[in-house]
Amino acid sequence: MANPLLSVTDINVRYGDAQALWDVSFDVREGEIFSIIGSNGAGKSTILQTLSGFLCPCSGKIELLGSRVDGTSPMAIVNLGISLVPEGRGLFSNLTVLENLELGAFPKRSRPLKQESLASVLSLFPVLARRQSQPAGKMSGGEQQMLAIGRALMSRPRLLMLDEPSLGLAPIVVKTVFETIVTLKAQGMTILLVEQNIHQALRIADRACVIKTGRITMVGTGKELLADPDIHRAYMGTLR
Amino acid sequence: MTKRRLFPPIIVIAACCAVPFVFDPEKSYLIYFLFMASIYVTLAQSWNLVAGYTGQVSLGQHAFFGLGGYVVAIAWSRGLIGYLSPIGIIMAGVAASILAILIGIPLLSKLRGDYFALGTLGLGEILRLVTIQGGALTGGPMGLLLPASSFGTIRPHYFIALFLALLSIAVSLYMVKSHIGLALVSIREDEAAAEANGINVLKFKVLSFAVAAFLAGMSGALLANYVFTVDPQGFYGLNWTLYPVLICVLGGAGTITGPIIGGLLLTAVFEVARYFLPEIHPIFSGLFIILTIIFLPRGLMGLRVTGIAKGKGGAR
Amino acid sequence: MLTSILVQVLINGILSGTMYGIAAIGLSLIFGTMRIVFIAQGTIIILAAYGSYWLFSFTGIDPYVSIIFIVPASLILGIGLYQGLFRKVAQAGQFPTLLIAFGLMALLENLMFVMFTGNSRAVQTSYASYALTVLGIKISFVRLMAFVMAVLGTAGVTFFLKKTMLGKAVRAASENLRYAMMVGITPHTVNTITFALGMGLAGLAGVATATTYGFDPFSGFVFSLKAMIALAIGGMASVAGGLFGGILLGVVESYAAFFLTGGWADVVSYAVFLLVLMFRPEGLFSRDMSTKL
Repeated sequence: MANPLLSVTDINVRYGDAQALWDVSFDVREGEIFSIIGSNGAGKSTILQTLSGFLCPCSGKIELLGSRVDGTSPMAIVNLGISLVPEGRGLFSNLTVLENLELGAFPKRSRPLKQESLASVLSLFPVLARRQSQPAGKMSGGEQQMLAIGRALMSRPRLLMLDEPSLGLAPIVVKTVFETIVTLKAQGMTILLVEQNIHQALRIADRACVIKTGRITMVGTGKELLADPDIHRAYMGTLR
Repeated sequence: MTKRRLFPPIIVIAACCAVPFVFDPEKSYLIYFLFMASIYVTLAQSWNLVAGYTGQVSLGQHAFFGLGGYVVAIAWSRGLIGYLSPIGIIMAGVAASILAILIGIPLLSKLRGDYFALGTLGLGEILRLVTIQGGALTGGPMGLLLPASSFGTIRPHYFIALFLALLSIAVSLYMVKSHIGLALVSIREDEAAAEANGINVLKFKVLSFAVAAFLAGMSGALLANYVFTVDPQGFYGLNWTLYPVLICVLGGAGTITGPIIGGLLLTAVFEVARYFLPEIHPIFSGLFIILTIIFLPRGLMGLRVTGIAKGKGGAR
Repeated sequence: MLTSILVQVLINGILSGTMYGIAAIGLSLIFGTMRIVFIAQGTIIILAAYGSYWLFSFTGIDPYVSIIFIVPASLILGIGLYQGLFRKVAQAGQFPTLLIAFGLMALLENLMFVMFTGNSRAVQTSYASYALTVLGIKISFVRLMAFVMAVLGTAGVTFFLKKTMLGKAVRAASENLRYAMMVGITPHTVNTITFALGMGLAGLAGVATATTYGFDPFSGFVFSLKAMIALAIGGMASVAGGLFGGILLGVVESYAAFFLTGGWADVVSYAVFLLVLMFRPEGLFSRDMSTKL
């Protein structure tokens, strides 16, 4: 089997005195969608915070294509090719759509390709092209989500991480968001998805894991987990 | 507090009381030192209440200090009170706290953090300017000369200063250990949460602000009785805010002993600097603040100066 | 003719207000990105004014020419100040940074007092009292130049912020530092640049001050306060707002000085300050959509 793109081994993460993650391990393979599901407060966002460099694991390691990245600054991590679309979108509301996208290409790695990236993002999300000069804060939730994803794509990531992209969005929009994620995968992007919308997250995932109070409790393919009765009981109501 | 813990403070206080009788007030430098230190400690404790415990960084203590000085000066010049009149000093404190309540209510209800600090700065400036414009009442830019020009002995000033310092410490102790203190700290840490828990945030903020003003006003009144003149630059000068802040930063804000240690240290530093480098000594206050905050953000007592707004950025 | 006098007062107000405006812009840049209330801004301006003054006194270099030296020196000073003083504490919250700025102000003021004495200084060039007369209004040449400098400074900064990648990064970082880090923007880089810019503007303002006012080491504090009033009126984190706030303040002061006696004009300014702080702390011009404070 080829080396995974991202390899997380036994990381333990603390917030001050409180431990949030216990011996968390998983791999993300190139070109796949890997979903992490779990209820609120289980530690999903903590994983992403750690992967993007805002938190430092007190033990364990995180490797991108074999080189360690745990403990590096968020800026360096973006430069290495891991881009996060945070919970809440992370947009600069006072800046225009175009400016937000341009800033997506701020990391040195992606700067030379800025114009190309812009062109492909705008063709992927035509609504952004139409709203280029609008302040990001004035857009609808779905549009903002598109912008957030588009901005992350501008940095030419090897690994795209999405933190609860469906949060706060209407069901129709949620559908579009997940379709977009599938499209991105089809274009070759590797995606790490953290979601509360378990059904969608497992439906589109190649592989997934379940996290509960800071520990990974299950790993499997999306289909496997989707069919699993325990998961249904815990997160989706009883199986008919 | 257990009896054993009371011993050291009582001994210290007793020693301080004994000093003017053991040493000759005319010649002893120690008395002057402790006098000034007491005034600084009072100011520092008062600022500590507002900023260290309640988290409202006021940069306007000098407004209350100056007001206290002027109230006494004006009353004295008009013959309403006499030299070192306790009524005068208390009146000065009361006047300052009334002002604090009047200004505090609008300011504290609407302003947070920096905006509040700026507002208090503005207050100080307004008072200073109004005083300059005050004509015969306040003596304008030159200030007022008081009816006496020297004192027989510094003893009464010393004891009043000591009393004020002890009062400020006692008040701080009381407020800290009582439910008031709990309320103040919870306001400092998370105002919204405090409000949600039924704490009347405004009331407590104004309370600490007014108490601080009371103490500052009395200190100003005492100093007026010592230097026998009041003037806008001397009494409304920013130094009277700078020093308490510096003391608390040095000693550790948000503690009771911090301002005491800081006050003694600062007075010592000032006096040393004044002796060896008479012109440059004000420079040191600035340098000290900077160095202390950068290298000793926790002050000498090792306790953290809590920021009002948490800094941005992640866990790094 | 009353109207022409009133217009004269207005013009004077606008011209002197731009001085506050330049100071305010530097402040707003620094506050916008780092949430530092840099109360020493006025004192830095005075430092620059002294620089211009001494350059003129010793070498005869015209103040406007001295900009070539003063502004770069100010930029470097800005880098140094940030790296030396604020870098460690910039993330610590507003209390420590306010105090450091306070301490710096006290330090510099007294340093200048010791070195330069407290005598009031002003650069007296040959053209210092030259005035143009336009439509019956007398416009002092040096004040007009100060106005021009302010406008150019504002334009320059606005251009930087709106049109350059680095400027956009600065704006992004001042809106949300954490999100900026997510796109690879390094806080310290952005902060250093912003601080340097703020000081550069202070340098510019210093030259303007040297040519238009008498100043002494302690003038800086009042300058800072006025700049803050300008910001409070114009919007705490908005660049152009600072300039307009300054102009508005200048006009208010100008009329207050005209109608009231002497020192009351200043009292009016501070009273306005307190009122604006209380009733519209986001300023009159702010159209900020993100939640601040």
